[in-house]
Amino acid sequence: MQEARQNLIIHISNKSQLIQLAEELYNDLELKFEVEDLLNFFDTFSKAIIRDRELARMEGSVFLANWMRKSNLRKLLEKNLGNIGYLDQFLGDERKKMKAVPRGLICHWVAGNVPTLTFFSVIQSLLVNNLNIARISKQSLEHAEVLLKKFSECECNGLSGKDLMKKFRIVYFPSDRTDLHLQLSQLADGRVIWGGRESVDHIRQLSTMSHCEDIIFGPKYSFGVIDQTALNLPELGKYIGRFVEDAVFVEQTGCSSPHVIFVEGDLDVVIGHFKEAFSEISKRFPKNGVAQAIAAKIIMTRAEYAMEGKKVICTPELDWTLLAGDDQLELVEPVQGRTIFLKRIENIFELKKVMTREVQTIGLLTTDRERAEAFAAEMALHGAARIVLPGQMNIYDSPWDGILLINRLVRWITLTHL
Amino acid sequence: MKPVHDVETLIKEEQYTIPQAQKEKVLLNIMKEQIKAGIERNQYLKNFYTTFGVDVDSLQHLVDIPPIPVNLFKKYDLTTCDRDKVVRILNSSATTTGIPSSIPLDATTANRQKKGLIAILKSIIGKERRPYIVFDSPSVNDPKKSKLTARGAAIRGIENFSKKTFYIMQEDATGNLVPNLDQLREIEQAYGDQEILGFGFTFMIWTSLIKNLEKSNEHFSFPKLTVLHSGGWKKLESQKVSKTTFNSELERYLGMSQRKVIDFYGMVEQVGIIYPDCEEGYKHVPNFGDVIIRDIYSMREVEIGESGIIETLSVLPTSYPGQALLTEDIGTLVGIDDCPCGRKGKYFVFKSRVEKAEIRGCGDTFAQRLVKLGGL
Repeated sequence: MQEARQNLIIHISNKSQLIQLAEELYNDLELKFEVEDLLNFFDTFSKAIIRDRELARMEGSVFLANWMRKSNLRKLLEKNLGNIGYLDQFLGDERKKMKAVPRGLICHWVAGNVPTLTFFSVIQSLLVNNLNIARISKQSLEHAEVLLKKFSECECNGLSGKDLMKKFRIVYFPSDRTDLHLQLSQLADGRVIWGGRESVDHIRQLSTMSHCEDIIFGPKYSFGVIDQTALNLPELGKYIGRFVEDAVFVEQTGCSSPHVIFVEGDLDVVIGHFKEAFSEISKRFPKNGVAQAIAAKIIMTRAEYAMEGKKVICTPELDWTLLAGDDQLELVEPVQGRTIFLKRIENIFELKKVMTREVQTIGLLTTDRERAEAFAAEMALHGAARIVLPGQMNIYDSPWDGILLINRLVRWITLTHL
Repeated sequence: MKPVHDVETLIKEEQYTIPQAQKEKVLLNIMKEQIKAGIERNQYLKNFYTTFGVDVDSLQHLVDIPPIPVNLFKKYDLTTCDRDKVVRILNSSATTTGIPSSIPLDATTANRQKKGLIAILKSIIGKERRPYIVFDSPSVNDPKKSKLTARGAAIRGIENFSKKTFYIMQEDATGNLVPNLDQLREIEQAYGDQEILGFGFTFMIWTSLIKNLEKSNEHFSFPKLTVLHSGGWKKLESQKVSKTTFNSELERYLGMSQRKVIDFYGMVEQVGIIYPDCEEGYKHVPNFGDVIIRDIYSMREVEIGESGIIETLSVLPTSYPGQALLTEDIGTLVGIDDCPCGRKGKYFVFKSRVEKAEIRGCGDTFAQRLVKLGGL
């Protein structure tokens, strides 16, 4: 592990190190990997993760492996670019053609809440042959080291992880080193910034080159909705279980984690299902403790609900918590740590009153497709970026936050002929 | 079952003398009655016990009492006596959230708290009255105010051991507290060779007293001074000031013994009980209260040597539900009944405040959303 840290993740202590890294990367600017080779390599890396039992047990690594499957990444590219061929040649009609070229050096600031996030961000950029420096957070170091080691050992049809590493570096420096953040920012042709408000605001205000493209995946809020048609579903319990899975993933620290579930009807119909689902999932995925700050919030919120005579359904320990009885139409401040607020709502369309641009994902359970489309259109107009089934809230997808990331990571070049 | 001891006896008896198992039984019987009385008088409290499905009569152990987070005093009126019986409201210093706690005191509670504090201090510093130097400004203990801060309450409590009280801090032209050096020199000349008691808030002693004495290079000689201090360690730790440094600087500038610098743990929600360090450096619990260190995840009581969130228990209050309060502090349970200092009951060390780290990741949009809505 120590060896991996020394070789694969670079601990930065001064600005000249970053400049040197950028120079090293730029030496390989013209080095181009073919899309098919890249897709095959990531497919191999995906299988290597699944085969490695220890690695497969790491939080989020199986999902990352599935996401890297060749068929999925191909679809991702097609969705973003229309035609993968744009990466290799000028395409169009006889007079006017277009080509997608790398944007240059992409600098990634990666939040620590999802341990595998670095790979989602960097791989999309590698697919279009960009150069990359990803600054990761302290809590991601261990995960990144292990995954990167496996990456460096992979090889497919002559393309190795070590070859690909000519196109990227993963670095770490403390978050309070503004001088290093600034240097990184000034080197970037594109900045991909993932994180909470404070860190996003901090990085955004740092100066950049005038052509630098900013892609922000900033602070977001997500919630779930169960409409009246779904309350009669024979498999209601199964779908509620999926909402609970959405809440358990990354302990509700993700932008797509649900914190409140609005129910269009009697809460008593769903409470038992939620209780059962939480009990069951706690056996499958026991909680590994809880951060002090989150524990304090859980204790406080449970006590507040109890004082006000509302419903508190929970385990004696801080394993999971269901809170009901406050039906005010509002989003609730996240508590995290497997805490779900249940609110009764008269009509799901009323939710547009609480929508903002910061709402990312709405998990929607309804049997009425027409209603789903009308609801999605209305919520999207007021800010929501994704309206998906329960169980799919955290599935990293493209577009994300309304952004087709790969499309933003290329420059579109025009060529006209006589 | 009739309690073996009543509250007054528990306060009056010599402190730190009841073995833990025996004390728990005594306290539980008293607390059950107190909690039932509180539930009768306060709807919030009634809701709290009902929601958590606790039948007070069936409680078998102190650890079974659901503790009330201290921050709830910032949000709810938890008075458990008739409103016209409230003689004073204690306010916390509102350091973390900006909202102070409000603790209503009736005459019984105030009286018991006073007696409780005296009983504890007596066992630590002896019963003699002596000159009392307050490292603060007199405005924090204005007798005309019906509301009292934690600082004021502590100063007032320790004043019971005072022969004559001197407030030696004053505001300078910029509004900062600075020591009145002339006054301190006069006290030195008049009482320097006598037993003297001093009290101040830890952070204030460091920033307003020691730092100013250092700046002016003034040294005093109080060889028989005992300084009690409390609160503000978090700020000092952020300035890399250790307990050893704090004590040695007091020794250097006030000419006192480091061994007579006594740090104590306490809170405005539990006035009447303080937890001073014993000679071994551990905090003890008087006969009329207890401490439970709960694992922050399981909420079960930790084993000896383990750390968790500190819950303080007291039989002193009749005007608010202070029987079992969950703090936002982390401590380590060091032992039970066997401290080398000879005191019985649990003993522990304070470790830190509960971390208030920002929510990780992307889920911190909430405050921004509220701002936006407010602007519509």
